[in-house]
Amino acid sequence: MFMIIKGDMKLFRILLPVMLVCGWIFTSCDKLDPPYAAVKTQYDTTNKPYVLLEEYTGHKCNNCPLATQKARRLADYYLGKVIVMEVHATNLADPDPKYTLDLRTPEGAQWCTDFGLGYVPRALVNRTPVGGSYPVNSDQWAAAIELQMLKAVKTGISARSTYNNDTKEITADVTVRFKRKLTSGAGINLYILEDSIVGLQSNKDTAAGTTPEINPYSFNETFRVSMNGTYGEQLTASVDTTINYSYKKTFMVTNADWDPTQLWLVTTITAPSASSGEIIGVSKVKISPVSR
Amino acid sequence: MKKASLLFIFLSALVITFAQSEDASAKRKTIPQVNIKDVYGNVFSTTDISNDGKPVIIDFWATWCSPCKRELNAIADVYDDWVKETGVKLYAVSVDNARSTLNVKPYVDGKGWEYTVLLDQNSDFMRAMGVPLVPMTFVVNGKGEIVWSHSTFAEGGEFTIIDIVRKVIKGEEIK
Amino acid sequence: MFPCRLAAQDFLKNAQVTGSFQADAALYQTDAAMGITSQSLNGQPIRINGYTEVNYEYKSFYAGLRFEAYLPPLMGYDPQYQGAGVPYWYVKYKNDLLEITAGNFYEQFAQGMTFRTYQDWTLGYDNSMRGLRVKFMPSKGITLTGVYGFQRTFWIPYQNNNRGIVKGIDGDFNLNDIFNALANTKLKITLGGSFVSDYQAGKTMIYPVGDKVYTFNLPENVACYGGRLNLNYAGVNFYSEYAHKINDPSQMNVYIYKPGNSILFDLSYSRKNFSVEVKSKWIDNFSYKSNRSYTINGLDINYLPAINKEHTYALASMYPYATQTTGEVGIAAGVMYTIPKNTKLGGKNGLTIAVDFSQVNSIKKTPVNDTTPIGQSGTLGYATNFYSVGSEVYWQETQVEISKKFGKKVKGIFDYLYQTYNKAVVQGHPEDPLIYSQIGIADVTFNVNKKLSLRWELQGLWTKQDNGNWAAGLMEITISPKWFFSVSDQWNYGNSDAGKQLHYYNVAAGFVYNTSRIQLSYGRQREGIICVGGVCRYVPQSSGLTLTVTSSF
Repeated sequence: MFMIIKGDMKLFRILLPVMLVCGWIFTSCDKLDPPYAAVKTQYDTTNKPYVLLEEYTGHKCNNCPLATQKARRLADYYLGKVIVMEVHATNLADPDPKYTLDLRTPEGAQWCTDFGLGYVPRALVNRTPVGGSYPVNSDQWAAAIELQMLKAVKTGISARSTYNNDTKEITADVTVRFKRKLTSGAGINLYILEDSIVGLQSNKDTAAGTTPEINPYSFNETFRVSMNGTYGEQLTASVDTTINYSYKKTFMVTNADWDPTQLWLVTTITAPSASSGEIIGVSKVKISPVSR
Repeated sequence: MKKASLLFIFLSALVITFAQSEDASAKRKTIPQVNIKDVYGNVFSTTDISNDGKPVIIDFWATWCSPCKRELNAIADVYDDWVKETGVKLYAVSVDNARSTLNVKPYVDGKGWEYTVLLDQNSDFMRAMGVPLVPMTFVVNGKGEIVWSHSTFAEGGEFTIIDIVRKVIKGEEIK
Repeated sequence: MFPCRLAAQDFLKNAQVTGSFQADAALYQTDAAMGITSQSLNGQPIRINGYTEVNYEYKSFYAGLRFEAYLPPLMGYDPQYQGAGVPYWYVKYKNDLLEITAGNFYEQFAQGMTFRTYQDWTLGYDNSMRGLRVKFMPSKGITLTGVYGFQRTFWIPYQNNNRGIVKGIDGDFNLNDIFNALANTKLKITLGGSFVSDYQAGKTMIYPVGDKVYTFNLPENVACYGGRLNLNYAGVNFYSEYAHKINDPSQMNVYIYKPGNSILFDLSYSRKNFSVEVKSKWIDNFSYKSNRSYTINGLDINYLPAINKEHTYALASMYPYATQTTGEVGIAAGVMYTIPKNTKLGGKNGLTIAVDFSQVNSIKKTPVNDTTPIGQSGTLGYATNFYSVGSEVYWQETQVEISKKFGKKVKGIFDYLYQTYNKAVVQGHPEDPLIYSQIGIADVTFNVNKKLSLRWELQGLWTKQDNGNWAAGLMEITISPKWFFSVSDQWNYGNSDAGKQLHYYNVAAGFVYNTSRIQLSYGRQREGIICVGGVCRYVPQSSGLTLTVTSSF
């Protein structure tokens, strides 16, 4: 039989709260019934701001093709309001005798360090932290995007860009109109992206392509360079909603690999400044090749 | 960041000073009370580590730690003599975690060791004793006070341990 | 410093202070043959990881903290560790009946299958709980533990639901202490049970699968519960633990809704000079983290260690196995026999022989219905029978180890291993073949006299796959009790690429004074993986000087 337990009365007083705690813990159990997932109804993107989904990737990262596929699926779902940009960084983007492409950039390496991107595939959504962390995994991209879309449209960006085949010069002509007053200034970043770069990509998900590699793989929306520095330039120190801000920039293309017919200009407006702040406006336009 | 590194260097200097000034401290340390397990899976309180007023050796080890096994092997060769001469008792406290904790008793038996084995599965006792890595050996006197401790094992180190035990028996001061 | 020390000594008079300290510093250099360029060093050639932990004890009251600094973290450690601070602190009150801890704590329920928080400095792993722990011991033989809080992940503060709140309760019962009738029996019985629940807000998630975007229903409370039993009679010990986890869709299991199961059996018999142990483990979808989105090392609530032996010799641990939480079944067995001294076989000094075997296979997964492929997100995922064994081999190892003393001054340990390693599954590269390797090790120590001893290690790894054959050697001189020196080399002589047949040499010298130890080493570190228990850390190759200081007080 039971040994006499020390202090029976003390035991009874403690027994009730212990049982209550047990009851609380035992009911913390959410068993779900099927169906577990349902096709989502179309999200209404009218009057919602554009959002930049900046995905970090690498050609030796075998999880990345599936993640990139998900990013593009989200871009389609949000009816063009999500702009995808692929930044090749971390050691999985390093070239070697087999994976010869080098799509790394000094800007990408700097952003990797500054935003704490330890591994790929992950993304930054409008350069805004989610749950205290800047980089976000693919299962949280849509939630982060919709959180950004709850915000008011703050900017109207009109951009035009040309590439001169003879002088190898890219010009960008951007006009920004602020629709909301901001308490501080704003910065502007101009990024050049390239589509249809062909190369070898490591892959482990059959849903995303052939395994263990996809060859040839088309690297789209690849970030190539920032026209105005790693963290852009200040556009204005104090925002006036009544005027149109004009910003022009040129860039000399030195890399002969770039295909002038596949280039895009992505403009982002950050507040309070170019180097610190979240993205409050994004736009993407095709860079038109011209010859003089 | 510079501030943080300076603070860190200061704290380390403080710690190293403490480590060297043990003898300057007023009181001898005693074994902290921690509940660990014995080889049957029962709760064992570290305050039960005792040897009828005779000295005790506490040796933190693990089945994955080669120098630890070398130390316990070296002591095993002379343990019978030690016990006969001084009555010392060695507690081999294993810090093996769930991966190998159930292998500790079979290993000790397979080697033919005669130590009392304790299982510190989540390093609670190791943390309370301030042990950063294994092996680490402590000599405790009859009053439960820690009189000597040593990190790592060098061949021949067992002779230093028994010398300390002999000093404890004679009631000599340990520097 | 002066007023600090006086105050500290007064503080010490009535209380007990213990603590430890470790600092690992590295000065990395470029190495053309290894392909390490200044770009790989990322502008940070000097890196240091360090910590100081202090514990204070006064009668029934305890407190402590740990200060950590990674300025910046050593190569191979997650860059999110960058910085310094106090990630661990606690205050505790303890008496015979009750123990209450507030702050950070490490705790384990049974063998950790449902709950284990721990720290491993070498691995760079720390999932300590910050919250409240209450331990209640109403009588001898009964321990009830309750935990509540959130886990540590690098320096990221808990905010906006970036990880779950974990609560758990565990009961541990020693029947021999509880029941009079069993007080003096030879049969010793302990049993217990635990229930853990993780709450992460968020009832739905939007996620693209294939060519559509779905809304997934998520369980906010994911519970995991289990029980265990330990029987001990004479030299026989039998341990068994089972745990069940309800639907836990997460990045680790590609968002399937199948519940998880895990069961472990361990049977051993041992007496002086002989032991035999057999264990088996079956794991089905059992990763349990407090953040659904996490795929890296961290925020694990439970602990699923690998079933095979942990190796310390360099070449034996070149291909370390790590538990596949999505599903695996393993078995391990070991026999150890020490032939006593002064017998015919044992010779003058005796001989110990140990034979070990372990194997891990996949589990057998079948589709839930005709239209759903295995592993489809948003569905149950797959079905499996209890203790099913799949056909894919993840790991196999056979090892024979002989330890012998040759006279008074020489002792040796000799090992032969045969390993089969499924690199594709363990490291996530489907194109890699199975690696079959044979490993031979000879570890001989010569005690010249009471102070001086020499130790040699000679190792060889022979394989036709991966990087080919390796040879390794080490020589260590110890001058007891303070000094040690070593020279070692690992040579990949069998690499099919002649440019990669590198020597990974290393020279080290060290000094031990009481509880302080300093080691300085220079050389190359080959690329590898360190696995401790169920968690692995990738170690990138590096070259340079390293300094390690540890101390205890």
